[in-house]
Amino acid sequence: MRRGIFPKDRLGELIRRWAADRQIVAPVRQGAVEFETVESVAGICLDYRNTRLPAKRLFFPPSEALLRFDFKAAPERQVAEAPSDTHPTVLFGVRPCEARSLTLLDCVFLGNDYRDPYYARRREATALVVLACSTTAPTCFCTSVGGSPTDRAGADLLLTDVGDVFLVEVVSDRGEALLAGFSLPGADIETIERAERAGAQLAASMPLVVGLDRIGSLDVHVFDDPCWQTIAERCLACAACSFLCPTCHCFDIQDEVIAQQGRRVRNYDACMFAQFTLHASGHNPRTYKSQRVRQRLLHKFAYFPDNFGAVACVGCGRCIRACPAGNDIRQWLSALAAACRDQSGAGCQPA
Amino acid sequence: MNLLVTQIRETARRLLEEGRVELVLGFEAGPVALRNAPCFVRRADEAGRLTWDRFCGLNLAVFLNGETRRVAVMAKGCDSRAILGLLKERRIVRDRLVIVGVPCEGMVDRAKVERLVGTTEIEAAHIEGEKIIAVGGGKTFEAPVEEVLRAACRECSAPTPVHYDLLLDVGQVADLSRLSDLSDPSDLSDLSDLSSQSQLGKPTLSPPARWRRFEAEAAKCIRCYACRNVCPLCYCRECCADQSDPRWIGASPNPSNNAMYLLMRALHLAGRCVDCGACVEACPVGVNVRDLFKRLEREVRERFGYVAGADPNQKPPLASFSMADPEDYITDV
Repeated sequence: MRRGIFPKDRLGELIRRWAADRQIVAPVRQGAVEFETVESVAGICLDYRNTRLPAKRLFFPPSEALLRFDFKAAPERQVAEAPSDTHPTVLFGVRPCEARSLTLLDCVFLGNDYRDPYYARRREATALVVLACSTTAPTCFCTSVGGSPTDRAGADLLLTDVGDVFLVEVVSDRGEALLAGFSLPGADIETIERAERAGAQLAASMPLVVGLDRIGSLDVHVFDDPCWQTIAERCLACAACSFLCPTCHCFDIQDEVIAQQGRRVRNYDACMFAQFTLHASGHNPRTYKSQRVRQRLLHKFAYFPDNFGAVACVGCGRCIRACPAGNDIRQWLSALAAACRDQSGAGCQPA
Repeated sequence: MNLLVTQIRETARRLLEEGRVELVLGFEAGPVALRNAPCFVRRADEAGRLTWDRFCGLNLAVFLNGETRRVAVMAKGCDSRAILGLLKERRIVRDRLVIVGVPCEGMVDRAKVERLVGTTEIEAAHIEGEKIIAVGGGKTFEAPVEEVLRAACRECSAPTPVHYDLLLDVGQVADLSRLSDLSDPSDLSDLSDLSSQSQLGKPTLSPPARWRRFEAEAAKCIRCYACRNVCPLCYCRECCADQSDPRWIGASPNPSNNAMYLLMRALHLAGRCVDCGACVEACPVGVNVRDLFKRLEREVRERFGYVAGADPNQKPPLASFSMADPEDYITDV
């Protein structure tokens, strides 16, 4: 993993080189900062903490046509794949938590048993140039869930801002290919150590979520605990948290039909919605809001770790900022850890 | 504000100690700046959690829907109007409810503060006298509170509840009525105005331009339904936006479907919306939903002489019939 120095005033050249045969997607400030396609470095905003909407939308979009059908057409052409709009892309200036979220979504969409072609083709076409964090928000808690402000998980190139230059770390072969034709003078030990010290200090400055390490076999010990009623009482069961979450990935498939033509689409769905588990019979195993809040929390912090070995949360804090009713997932987790301790006395064993 | 906080806590303590209620619903400090969280107090010794300031924008009536426990609610003007609406629609039992009227001076609009500071990452904010001081992106910013008040609050007709069981008294409170005459530069009220001369003297848009502006708002919507779920008057167990057979409103988030969703909500809230602005505050992507609702509120007021939450004895226009009801749209075709 070689590291080098890249002057900031040459960034425009790099973007121009990439733009010749790739789409560039980067943070752009229009009020809030969001990912947009840019033509040059001029539109890019790197003076930001995080985008309002997560990078997952570029790989797993809020609404996507899977198939098109037309039953007036000849039999062999009645059902067709929806056209693909995937181009080779550089996702530039994305944060470590977002890159990490993609590695978690990979567990679901690029797993051993199932491979989602729609997600896969976008993932394969996109190189990630990650910008390490130099500040954090009060709502950030990546260090509590296995991440850090300088995490390189999922990155092809990791950039760290050190004044007039970027410290560039080539993390993958694809990252190496991105730098083809650009000289990257090696970084001196002093710059590297300075950057690492700053990163470590930043990570250490972030308070850890109390008790998160103690939430192991959550579902066994706390599934029936009455704490869920209290935890859920100020939740409004909307999907603001789920739709803004970089790791939430539930979707609903619907057919949109007019007469004999239509398309099959996949839209975001959320376990917070009342009808999420509504059966065709009319039975709903998660009728109550407290059951749905429990589901969301246990999925992220118990079931996903059981299935894939990692917590399905990157600590970006979007859910905390977005919640209209002032819910804070960190407070929920601390309440759970307390309930866990109360139930078993000695505290839950980590999974 | 301190006097108000003291009175709120004392009242909560007293009501719980006397056993008059099982639960007191108010606000406590939230996890993020500019937005307090609803607080459910069950024990008198927890009353100290309750607070009150200009960041208490949530409409607490949303938690009263179908509530059967004996509850006291710290209600500002719009909360009490929503409660009145829910009472008329038989969603709450009156004698299980204690409405504690809290005089309101208007709530801060988080998006306005974010626009002023230039970032959506406000770390801290507090009110000092008539100023708001906000910290974000490493910078501190000051502004008169008036400049960052919610649009709904600027036009509020009754910030201090008119319907209550107990009214907290802190003497003189700021008179918001003068603000409704002043042009609010961030207010898109020209979207709601169909007359040629807008009430605020701003030029109005032509219908095609107005539609384009509306579609631009609708395009932002991600169909998270935060606006619907935060609204005290949206309580249908099965919302028509969630029905798939028939699919009244397309589920895919695109400008056309989203426009249908927003229009549907506006129509279903006609004569019922109390203009608290909680929906605008709840939207995670800043869709301005309020203008549509204002338009319909005006229609109902002008055609039927009805304002939601004003008169407890007045029957809702869609649940009653009068010989004086306008018929011109039927007879004059």
